Amino acid sequence: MSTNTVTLPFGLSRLRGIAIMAGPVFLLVAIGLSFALSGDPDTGRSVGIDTFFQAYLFGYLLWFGIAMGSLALILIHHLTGGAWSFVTQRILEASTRTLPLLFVGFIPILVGPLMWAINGSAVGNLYQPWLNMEDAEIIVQNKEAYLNAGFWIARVFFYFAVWIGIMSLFNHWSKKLDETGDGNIAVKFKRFAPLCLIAYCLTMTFASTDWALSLEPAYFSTMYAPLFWISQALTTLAFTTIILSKLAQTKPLAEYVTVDHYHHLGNLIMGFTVLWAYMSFSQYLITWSANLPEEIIYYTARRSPSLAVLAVCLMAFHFLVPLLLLLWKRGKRSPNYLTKVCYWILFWRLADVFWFVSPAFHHEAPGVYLKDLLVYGSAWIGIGGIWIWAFLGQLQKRSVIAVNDPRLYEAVTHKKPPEVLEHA
Amino acid sequence: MHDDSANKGPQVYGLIAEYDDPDQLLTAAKSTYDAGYREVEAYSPFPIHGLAESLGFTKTAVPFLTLCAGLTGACAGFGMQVFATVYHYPYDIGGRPFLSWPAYIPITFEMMILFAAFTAGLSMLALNGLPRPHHSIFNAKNFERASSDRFFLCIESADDHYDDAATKEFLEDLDPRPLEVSEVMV
Repeated sequence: MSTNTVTLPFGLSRLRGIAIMAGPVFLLVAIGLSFALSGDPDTGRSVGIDTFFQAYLFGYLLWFGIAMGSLALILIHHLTGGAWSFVTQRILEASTRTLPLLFVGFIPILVGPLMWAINGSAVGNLYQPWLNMEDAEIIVQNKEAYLNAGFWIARVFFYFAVWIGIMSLFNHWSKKLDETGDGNIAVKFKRFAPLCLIAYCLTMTFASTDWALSLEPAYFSTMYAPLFWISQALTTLAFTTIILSKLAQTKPLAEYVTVDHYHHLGNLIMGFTVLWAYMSFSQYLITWSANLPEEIIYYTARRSPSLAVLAVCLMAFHFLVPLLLLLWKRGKRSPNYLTKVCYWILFWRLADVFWFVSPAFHHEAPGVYLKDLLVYGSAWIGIGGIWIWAFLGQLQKRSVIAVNDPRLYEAVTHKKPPEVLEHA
Repeated sequence: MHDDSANKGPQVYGLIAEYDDPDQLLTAAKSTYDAGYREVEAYSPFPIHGLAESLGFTKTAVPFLTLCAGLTGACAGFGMQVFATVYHYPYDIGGRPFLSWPAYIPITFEMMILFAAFTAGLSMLALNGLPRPHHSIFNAKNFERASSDRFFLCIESADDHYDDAATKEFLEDLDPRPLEVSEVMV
């Protein structure tokens, strides 16, 4: 069978056109707002262009999270061979194929450490607290063997090499399976998935430490990286469900997708919502119980009135509300209802990432700043516009269902293939 | 041996049709339900997708009972700790307020799971009428194969539409045709 290309439904192809125009415009808006609005001069870290770099990291982590979450879910799909994942496989694969673009998109984040390494300038100084070791606290200075510009930059290249490597391998096999129908490829998927999943967990642990946790280099938490994995999977599942519901309105995907698939996805989203709450709270509980000076600063920097309100909102609206909404079985079996819950979850994912990124830059005067909200929002749309454009472009390139996968029959019909039963 | 069938209630538990294919059972179950029979049970060695739904099985009280029990457990767990640390034996631990709610969450969570899990398991058994030492269906011919390679559909005599002769004919004429239709005695 030949590889088919996909005609996107009208809504998605129009979105793609709007996205590529909105992307650059909103990035420029973010830069403009960053200069135009006065920030928080007390800390000296959110003045002028600085806010743009912070906002860029925020937007980047969210969209990058979908690509990386997709990579992890593909590996889990091949590991478990669940029925829910066959209909989402191609959406996830398309999203992982944006990783080379995301590598290019990493440049603005790379600028700070790179400029520091070259000439000690503080342009785009996201990581100033550890780049400038002379002014750092002792506890941060002790981490210099790991937290230094040269090693940090080298690690960025290493991570992307691993991720793009895994992504290429699985996408390549997937394409070959479409073209040749060679059943051995399905075995290869299964064999390599566990190893690659371990690689994902390890690299993502270090990457989340490097890119986000090191914004506050004194703090440390073993929950931080698992929280990143879970959050990526949750964002990805919500995003993928929305895309699936759009694609499934037309053939060929309409022939494969049943309410059962939405039910499975709804259950998974509920599971990851609970896991997100579990991990976020565990991290807080452990830090709060120990109450050690070097750890507790992470939470004291997040307990101004406005940030505390945000934290309570996260508990109520990122955890409790979606949990209750997703307990309802008939709701999960309705694509319309489920996608609405997914939009809700995506919105609160933004709030959660805002909650752990933005206060890192306002330690002297913690709070939710209007400038931050505007610039962060614009940067998120800006990066998202370009990312969505690339993602939908990739989605068009391959058949939306792995028609030649030997496991497909069982996944769609919930029965063993006839030839298997005969041999049994 | 004495025969007292004359003064006891119905001696026939139901009529049972035997199949050797899960798809045939599924089709037969649908036709039976469509014909108006409601006291129908299907037996198979493994779960068949859509079988329960085809017999008109929609929902049980188990999820709702589990939710109630979970909420009860959570409230009980939280309340117990508030009572102990705020009213009954207030104690200053590291200068924290008496009502240090983050510390209560793990116990609250565990109590919720404990109550919910026990209720889910026990209410499932209770609503199924279990445990019970014997069931008439075990009198059915060949029934031991329901746990290996045979698929059964039983119309119980408790059904409003049940009639010894007519129901037997209905089952025998089902499409797909069963391997055998036999009576199950109480």
